[in-house]
Formats: sequence, C-alpha cells, structure tokens
Amino acid sequence: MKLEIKDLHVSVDDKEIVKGVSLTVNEGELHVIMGPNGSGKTTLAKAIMGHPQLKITSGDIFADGKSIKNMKVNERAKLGLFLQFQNPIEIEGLGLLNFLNSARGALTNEALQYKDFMNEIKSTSKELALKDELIGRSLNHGFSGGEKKKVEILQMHILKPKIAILDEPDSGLDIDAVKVVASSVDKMQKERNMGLLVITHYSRILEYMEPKFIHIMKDGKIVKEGGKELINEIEKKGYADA
Amino acid sequence: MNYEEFQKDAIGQYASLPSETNELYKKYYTEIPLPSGEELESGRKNDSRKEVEQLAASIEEKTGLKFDLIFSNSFVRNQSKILSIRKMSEISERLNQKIYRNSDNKLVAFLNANSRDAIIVDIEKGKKEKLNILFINDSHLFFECLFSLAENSTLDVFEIFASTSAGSISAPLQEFSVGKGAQLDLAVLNDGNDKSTMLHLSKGTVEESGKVNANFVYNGSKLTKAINLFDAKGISGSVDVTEIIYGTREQKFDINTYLLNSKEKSHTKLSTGAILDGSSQCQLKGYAKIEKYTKGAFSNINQRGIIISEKAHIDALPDMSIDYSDQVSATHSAATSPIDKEVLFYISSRGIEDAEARKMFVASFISKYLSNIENPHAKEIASSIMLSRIGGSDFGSIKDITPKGVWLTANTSG
Repeated sequence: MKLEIKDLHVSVDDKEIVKGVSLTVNEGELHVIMGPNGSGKTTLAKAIMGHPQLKITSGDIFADGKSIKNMKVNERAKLGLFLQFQNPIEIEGLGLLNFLNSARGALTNEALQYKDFMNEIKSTSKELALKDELIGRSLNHGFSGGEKKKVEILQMHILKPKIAILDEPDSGLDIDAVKVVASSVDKMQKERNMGLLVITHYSRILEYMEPKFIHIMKDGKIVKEGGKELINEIEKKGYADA
Repeated sequence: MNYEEFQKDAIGQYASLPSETNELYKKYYTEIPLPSGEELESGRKNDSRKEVEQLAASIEEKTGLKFDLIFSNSFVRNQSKILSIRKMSEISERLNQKIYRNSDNKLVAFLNANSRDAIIVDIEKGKKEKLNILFINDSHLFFECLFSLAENSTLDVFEIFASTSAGSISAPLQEFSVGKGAQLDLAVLNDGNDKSTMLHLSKGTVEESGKVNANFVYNGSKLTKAINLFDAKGISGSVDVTEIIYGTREQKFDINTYLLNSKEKSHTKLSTGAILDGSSQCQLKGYAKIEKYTKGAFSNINQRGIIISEKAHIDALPDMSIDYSDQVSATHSAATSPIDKEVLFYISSRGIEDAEARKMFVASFISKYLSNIENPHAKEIASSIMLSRIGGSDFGSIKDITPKGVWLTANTSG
C-alpha cells in the first residue's frame, strides 16, 4: 500500500490545526514525525484514520492512488490502515479477546480456528511481555499506561495492517518496555514489509528501529525533513530552531 | 411471619417515600393508569392454560432451566418444597378491603387489594436453597411474594417475568426478610411486551451481618414502574442493588429505589445503568438515607444513563439524606450522555462498522451491570435477552457469557 497525504489542511471547530501537510509512506518504509506539543501530529494521525469530528478543509489523502477522504473509518481499516492511539479508550465490559476476534473477523472475513487465534495472541503477548491475565479482561479497563500501549501493539500484530500509524508508542513505557515494544514493531515491519508512520517526542524508541525518513512538524506544518541525522540535531538543539 | 403487620408496614413505608411525598419530584412522577377493581377482575383470564404451558416449555427449552415454580392466572406448577401458594382471600380478606379504602398510597393499596395469591417462601436456619421462578402474565397478574430467610441461611432466587398478553398489568409485591448472617441473591428479569405494564414493588430488610445482592433488569414493557425499598437494619447489614434498564420505542420507566442505613457499619449501594433508544423515557430516582447513630455506615448511589437516540430522555435524580455525620460515608453520582464518539471512533478504527460498534458499546455497558448477578444462569439468560433486545447477535462482547439468543416474549410493536 502507498499512503499519500497531499497538502492536507485539517480543522477542529473551525480552528485550523494541520496547515498543509504532504507526506508519502510506501510499503516497508519507516517514517517518523517529531515535533513539540500542540504541533498537530495527533490531529494528522486521526485525520488519516477518518475521525468524524475533524474537518478536512483542503488537500486529500490517497491509498494506492485512490482518495479516502470521504471513506468511513472502518473502511479505511479494511484497506489496511491502523492507528495506534496515544490514549487508548477503556471499555469496561467489552472483553479484549472478543473485541480482537470481532475486529479480526471484520477485517479479514476469514474463518480462523479459535485455537490458532489464541496461539497467535499468546505468542505475541509473550513477545510484548504482557501479563496473561490482561488478555481475559475488559478492553484496556484498569490497565496501566504501558499496558495499554502494549495492547495497542498486540492489536496491530493480530490485525496485520499494511500501514500503521503509531501515535506516541513510547509514552508511558519504562526503559525496558520501550525496547520490547520497539523491537516487536521493528520485527513485524520487516516480516510483513509494513509501512510505518511513528509519531514521537523522544529519540529513545528510534534507537531500536531504523527510520530513514524524519519529518519535523511545527504549528501544523512539516518544517524540516531528512534522514536519521535530524534526530541528533533535535536532541541537541530542540525544536526551537527547526 | 405476621402478614397483617407486613402489609401495614409496607404501606406505611411506601407512602412516606420521597417519590410519593416530595414536592420536588412531582414533575418526575409517572402516573399509572390503573383500572378499577371491577375492570381488573373482569380482565383476568383463566382460560389461557395451553398458551402459558407452551410458552413455559419454550422458555425452559431455550434457557435450559427447570423452573421450581411456573405461575400465571390460568396455570400454576409448583415443584418446590420450600414454597407454598395461598389465596390472599384466605389470608385476610378483611384487611385487603380496609387497606384499599384507607391507604395513603393508592398504588400499594391497589396492589394489596387486588392481589389474588401469596407465594410464601421460608428458608430455615442455616439452610442453603435456590429457586428459579417463571411468572407468566397471561392477563392482569397481581400477587404477593413473601420470602423469609432465617439466621445464616442462603437463598438464590431467579425470577423471570414473561408475558403472553398485550395490554395487561404484572404487579408483584415482594417482601424479603433477611435474617442475621443470612444471604439473599436475587435476580429479577422483566421481559414484558410493548403493550404491557409492569408494576414492581419490593421491600427488603436485612438483619445483623445479613446480605442482599439484588439485581433488577427492566425491559420490554410499555410502562415500567418500580419501587424497591431495602433497609440495612442490622449492624453490618449489607444491601447491593443493581438496576439495568433498556428502553426503546415509546417505553416509559419510573424507577424508584430507596436504601436505608439504620445501624452501624451498614452498607448500601445502588448502581443503575440505563440505555434509552427510540422515544423512550426514564426517570431514575435513587434515594439513600443514613439514620442517626450509624457510625461506620456506607452508602453509595451511582446512576449512569446512555442516550442512543435524540428523542430519548433520562432524568437521573440521586438523593441522599444523612442524619448522622460522624464517620459515615455517603457518595452519589449521576451522569447521562450519548455514546462517546471517541469510543465509536476507536472501535470503528479496528474495521468494525458503526452500527456494530454501537451495539458492542451498548452490550459492554450492560454487561458491566450484569456482572453483579451472582447466579451464572441468570446472568447468561439476562445477557442473551438484552442482546436480543438491542438487536445484537452473537458478537460476543460479553465476557464469560455465551449468548444463546433466548427470546422470551415476542415484540408486539407495530
């Protein structure tokens, strides 16, 4: 899949947040968006996924050359897009397993043996160092910040998107967990040739991944682009001079 | 049990409830269009035995439950040794007449005066019993249930109210007397039809260290009025009440729950969850009172409403009266909202269609409350019916429950 964002402008309640972003993510590519708080990174991620309260005032989003601007949220997921939420929603009473099984069924329309499904969940949970007991609980209910992030990555593994947008996958994680999550994402990306768009404030998670495209976003715009060297520059100078 | 005393006591307490006396709540009061005694009597059928037997057999088959008691106007099957049925007229005809004329509370008086049968359950000291009861409203069904739990006994009661009749009234008046150290687990499931009325009145008292876990599921009826009154009257007595309401079309609900902490270390809790669709309306009135000299008492009221359609309406009215402020805990909360759009966005982002996402959310909301039901069969049947009612299928969002698609009563709308 090829994801193209062309001169995208996004508003919330008539206030423009994203002010003309253009970006292309191809299969197998790892892109990173960095930027200060309030620069529009999360709004961009949600707009790509089709958040109903965001208004695209101009520009467009294409998946394999086809506009998805007016496509429903679930249809975008069916195309192969996945958004890892910065603040995953808690839904008490909705079992994580059942939710994952329903989502997998909606995306693939394939009958998967329950045993195979469970085996995949168990092995991925182990890889992510997720406690077994979390799997049997309600979706994100009572989970710690780190556990929620890991469950998001677990969902990504099960749903197998073509392009995943990870919105701060490292926030709320301790040092060891950052490594575990980053390694798991990196492994999946390589195995499935998945396109990745990672939003982060920190360079630590990128130590375990191999980003080739770095985009610095400020005030709703991409103000600087480059390779991995940009990360070091931001680490030293911050975003003020970007 | 002194039945006359119970009736007097019940009427006195119901009549003094804030829902009946407080001026503030008059605008939130749902009048019940009660028929006259003559109309009621003439509207009672005794010729629907075959229909009732068929429905009962169908429900037993679908649920896998064998009911200890199947009760209707035209057919009664009692297979329990701990349960007896007596005609109200045999208990106190004179008293019924008196109450009907003189009571301050017309609703209770009406129910008392027109109840035809009394179901009496006595659990002996230290015994552990279980009862599954199916009430089928084949026409106006007025009766009283008197449950008495002796010291350290346990009773698990699951009651289902189904209906074969449109335009009729189900009116149970139930009393639970929970002795010292005794425990009552109660699950009441009303699955009426769109033209029926449910008047549900229950009253419970809990002695020292006794426990009540009462769960009421109201759905299906055109009009549901409930008055539930529980008194933790013994030291460390505990009452947990959970109410689950699902309304659709033009259904109306007037749910009144009154909790009383009468002694030290008593514990009362009310959790109400309501989902309203269509043009349905719901009044949730939860009252708690902490009496004087009740050190260590705890009381909590939590009311949560979800509005699915623009025409649906919920009034949530938590009300606490605390007569003793020394080391007691009293908290309440009430919130009503539409389904959170962020939740729908999250679910949809995983490929699930909007309509299905809504169903999943509603089912998860309901299951949160159903999880308080101790009896696993009751929990499973209640969830199946609720899922059927919300139009859900086996999307399996309720943890630890396998919906079987149980449907007790056909919809009569349209």
